[in-house]
Amino acid sequence: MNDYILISTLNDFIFCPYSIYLHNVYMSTDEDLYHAVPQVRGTVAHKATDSKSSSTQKDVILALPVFSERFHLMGKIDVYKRKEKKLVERKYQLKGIFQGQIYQLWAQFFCMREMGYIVESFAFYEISTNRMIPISLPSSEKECQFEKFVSDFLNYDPSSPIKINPNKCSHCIYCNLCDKTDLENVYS
Amino acid sequence: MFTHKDIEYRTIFVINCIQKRHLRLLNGELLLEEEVDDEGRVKTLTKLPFQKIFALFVVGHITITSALIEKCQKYGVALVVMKPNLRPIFFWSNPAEANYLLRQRQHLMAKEDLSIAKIIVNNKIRNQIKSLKNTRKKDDITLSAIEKCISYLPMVNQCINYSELMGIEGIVAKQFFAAFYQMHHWEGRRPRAKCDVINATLDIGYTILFNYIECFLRLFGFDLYVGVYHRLWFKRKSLVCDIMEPFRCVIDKTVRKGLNRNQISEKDFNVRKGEYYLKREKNKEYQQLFYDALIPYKGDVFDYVQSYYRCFMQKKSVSEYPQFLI
Ligand code: SF4
Repeated sequence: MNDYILISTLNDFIFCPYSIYLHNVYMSTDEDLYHAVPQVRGTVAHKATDSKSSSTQKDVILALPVFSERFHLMGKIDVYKRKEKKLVERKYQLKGIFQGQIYQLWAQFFCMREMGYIVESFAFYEISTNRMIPISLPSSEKECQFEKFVSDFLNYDPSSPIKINPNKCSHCIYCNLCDKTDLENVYS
Repeated sequence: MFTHKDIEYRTIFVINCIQKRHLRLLNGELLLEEEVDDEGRVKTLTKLPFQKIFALFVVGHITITSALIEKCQKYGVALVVMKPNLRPIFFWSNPAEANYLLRQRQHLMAKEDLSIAKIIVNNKIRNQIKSLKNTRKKDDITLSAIEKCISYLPMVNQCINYSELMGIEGIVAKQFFAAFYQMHHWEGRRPRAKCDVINATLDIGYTILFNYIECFLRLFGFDLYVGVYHRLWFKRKSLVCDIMEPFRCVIDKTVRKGLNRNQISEKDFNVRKGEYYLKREKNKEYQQLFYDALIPYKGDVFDYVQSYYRCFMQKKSVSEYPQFLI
């Protein structure tokens, strides 16, 4: 089975499932080059973590590749504090916390759990304000909700009709090459 | 993603690599170098930043390395290598080949559906009429050609089959060419026969236009072999043939202007067994003539192809399809 979902695309799937199709169509071209402003900022925020340079503490694991057989997920975690058994996702700025971002954190948590790590708490860390925002662990009910979401993602058929939200399209990096809209995005 | 800004900012570079010239990658930049002596010493003619390139047309010889391909892929640059006679021998660009929904839609289009083909032919004829009017000639041949072309326009919509549509397009083209090139001993359009200077030059211009349009179609991931007007025909890229129809007038106009200004002339050709071949040393000038005419339209071509793609995917009504009006 090769149909693994990249954890980083969970948010995009909620934003617009069709954007996942377009992401796959165009992803051979360089990611940095085509990322619009908000995404670039996110990438920069992650740079220190990805290059494993933001901490020298022994108990901190950075940019660990994670994987879940059960949910067909793969990706990387941002920061895992071994002693505190805490998973942290760093963001440059958090205007609000979206469901997709929470799903990403849950996804990392499920992957780590399956890989044998113990995670007792997690949080977002806002770099611009140096703020830690704790997020509660998913209940078993939420876990079912997540499972259903992942299954919708795995079974997504890009030829099925979608409802267009012009506001989303105008903020979507795929807007110019998307056939579902005639809009221009705000980055054009 | 490619945006309008991107298209505006990026350029199509045409590089002549015929005489002792090479392309080389150095520190992530593309250098065009020329040998200055027999000891292999070179001088850099120009540096091309990849971010500024939309497509790279190389005429002549080139060594393609994996590093070059990687760079082109990274920056979404189309790479086209042509022989000195402008025949493309290598075309590399696959930014959207995974767009299978688009291909599915192309393959599902009914063969007998002429609705989009009619829009394309209509657009082409309108541009032929406009081109004739723009000559400001008031002689009988021109006025009668304009009148006839106009009279055929409504018939395009009424066509019930493919051969009828092709017939109309052919008759109009005949009228158009006869009037448009009347000062230059026009005898008739004979594609690839190289029977005279105008035909040979039109072939060169249309070939350049063809490659140019192909770059834009590849951007969206079209199956180039499946057209809506031109039918499936062995190795023919029928969709490119279709989409270039409204833009042919740019080439027609450039040839006429070139003839009038003596930029195109019989002395630039060698004649072998009745066929006209452009002299090698004239290659560059002729290419420049056509690329200079086409490059200012890159935004229009992108808009046209983008809009065509969206109409096609959304099965929009024919009235919403784009028109390129000269
Ligand atoms: S442009 Fe709109 S429809 Fe297309 S992928 Fe983006 S959000 Fe979805």
